[in-house]
Amino acid sequence: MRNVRRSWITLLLFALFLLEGTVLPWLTPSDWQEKALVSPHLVLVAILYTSLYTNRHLALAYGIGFGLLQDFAYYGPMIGTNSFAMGLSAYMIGLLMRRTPIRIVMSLFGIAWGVFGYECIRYGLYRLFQLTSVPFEWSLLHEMLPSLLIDLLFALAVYVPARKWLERLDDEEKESAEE
Amino acid sequence: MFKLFGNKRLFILLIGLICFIALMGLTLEQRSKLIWPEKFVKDSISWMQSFLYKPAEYAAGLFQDIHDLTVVYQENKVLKQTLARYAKDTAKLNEMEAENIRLKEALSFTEQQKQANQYTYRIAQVIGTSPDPYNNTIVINLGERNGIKENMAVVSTDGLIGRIDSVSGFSSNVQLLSGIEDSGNVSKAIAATVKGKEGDSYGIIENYDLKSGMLIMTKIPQTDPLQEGDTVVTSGLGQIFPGGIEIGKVVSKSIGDFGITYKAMIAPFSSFHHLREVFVVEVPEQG
Repeated sequence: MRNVRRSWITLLLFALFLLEGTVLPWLTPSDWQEKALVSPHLVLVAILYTSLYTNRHLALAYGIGFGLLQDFAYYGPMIGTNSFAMGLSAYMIGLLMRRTPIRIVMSLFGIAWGVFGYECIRYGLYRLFQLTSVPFEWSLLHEMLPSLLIDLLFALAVYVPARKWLERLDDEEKESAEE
Repeated sequence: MFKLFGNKRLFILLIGLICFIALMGLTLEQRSKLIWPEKFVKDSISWMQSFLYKPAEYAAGLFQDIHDLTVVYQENKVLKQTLARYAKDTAKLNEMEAENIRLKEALSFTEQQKQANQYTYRIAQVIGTSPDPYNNTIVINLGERNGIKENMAVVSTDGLIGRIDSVSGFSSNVQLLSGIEDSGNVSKAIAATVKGKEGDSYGIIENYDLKSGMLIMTKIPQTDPLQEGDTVVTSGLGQIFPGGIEIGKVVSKSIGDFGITYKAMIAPFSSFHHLREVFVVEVPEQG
């Protein structure tokens, strides 16, 4: 039972991953991509939910895995950026919020920080390897904050089903562990 | 804070950081060949993407069409004017082409030299766009099997949009012009010139200004006749991009960073978003 559900999560994440590179660029208006570089992170939001409601080690694995998949599929400058940034931010959010009771506000707060952390790590890595030269302030206003807003809207939209589903999965896992 | 990072966790984090930085450093340089797991993963993903990109494009196109209805009358008027000019130009072109052939014969051009400017434009469907705004990569559905090679120029109907960055079996990644950057050693500069002043004008496009959405052409000589409003094309001198492909329009010209040469801001003709079909330019083999 446990493995079946986990593979459902994997499949869902994979579907989101495919949507992110194909459907979403068409849904976001062209202006948003030119004036403000809006890029929703559906996969990351889903992984952050996994981190909040199941366990952080699973989220770490998903973060590294799907990050690497993205790095392979859109291999431009280098491999490993998304993998590192997604894995680390998913794990850190799980670690930081492990003791707090997670209600809607707290979970959105956690997701906001997770996405922001991911963006910062990614920007830092691109800056480190001199692949971009835009100042941080510009990037913050034109890329990170608009994307964050869209991500939070998505997170809010899927909050109820995600929480129900993931918590049930977590309970079942704990039960099977006790047996 | 100390509790959060126990010794073990900190250690693992550092090891992870080292491994990933090493991986990034290794993959950063210009790699000509992808290894087979990369190709396998990439091809399977792009196969699945190709089913999703089309419907998305049609759905988005529907809204675009509604918008287009409002401007179609205006557009029609302009197009009619252009068509009249086009007919005149075609007559002129035919005449000049014939003359060109005659002159080439007279100067006894070799067969290879004659073929050098006959580019083949291979149409390719775009099947994916990188969701990462700093990684300006799109995926197209032509690959090694279709004879696509690295560094081939990629154009849209409006103008140059990029070059082939990496190739796998059935798909390849295109680095868009919006991703060119002279500091990172991952892009190739474009040797450019002005249309109509090919002999006198010269400059290099090696940066894209993300803030204004314009290309920056540098190393323009002081005596250069380049002016605002000129159309910039590839010169073919760089040996990577073939000559004569339109890039954009000069928006402004100013003194460059060191005061010796000029730099110009160029508004690209082609948009780098919402791409459907692109053309890969195949140049006949040299020698």
